Amino acid sequence: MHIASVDPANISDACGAQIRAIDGYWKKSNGIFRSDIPLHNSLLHYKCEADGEHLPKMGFTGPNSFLAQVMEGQFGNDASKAVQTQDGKFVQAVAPAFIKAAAGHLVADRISMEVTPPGHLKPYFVDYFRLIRRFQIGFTGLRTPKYFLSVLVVPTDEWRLSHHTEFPDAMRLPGRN
Amino acid sequence: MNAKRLLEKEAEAFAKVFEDTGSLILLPFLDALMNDYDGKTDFRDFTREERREILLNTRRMMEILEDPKEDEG
Repeated sequence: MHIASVDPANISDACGAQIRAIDGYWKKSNGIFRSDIPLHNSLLHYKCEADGEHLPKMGFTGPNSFLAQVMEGQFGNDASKAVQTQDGKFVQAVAPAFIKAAAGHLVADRISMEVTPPGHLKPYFVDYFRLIRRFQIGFTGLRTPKYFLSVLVVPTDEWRLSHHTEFPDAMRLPGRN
Repeated sequence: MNAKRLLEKEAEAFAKVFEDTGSLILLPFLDALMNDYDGKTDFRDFTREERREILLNTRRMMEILEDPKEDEG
């Protein structure tokens, strides 16, 4: 397992444009959610709380998000919960960053580790970038601001190449099975 | 422009389902949610499944907003 922080402005992978779009939007809007947000259907919204051991409660799963794509809706509506119950190690590894994010700091990481999806006995290698940002929903000037956490998860180029489903053998990276 | 306005009305209609607990807070979220469905300009374009999806996502967000723990801080 390896988690390293990255600079969202300097990611050369194919998904870099997506990360920059979201990162730039949050910077520009100062963390306030407006309806003109780009790539909204690739985002996941979580409750703004963190205990460092569990993932927060999930609010919104974008239909185009990486999580939805990987799970393909085969584990019901709560794909995130399904992974958590199956693979506690994964949750323990990724949950601490949510503390930092819930306090209002930007989290940008590259995560390389193995996860065990529900119903699988063998762990799978995953390699992805994540961008976690606290945002405020509603309108400005509420007495108690309503916060959520937005998470953008996009796979790295390496993962994309090794998991190309259309031509699995042609696209496979040398040296990785 | 006209098409955009129709969807805004639809967002308001969905928000009314959760009226008692601050539908205004959810309006931008609903607006963004509906813009995700490309090419849909009118509430009649949404299929039954899409409506269910919208309502489910909105209900989950609402549940988080309504959570009593949120009021402590």
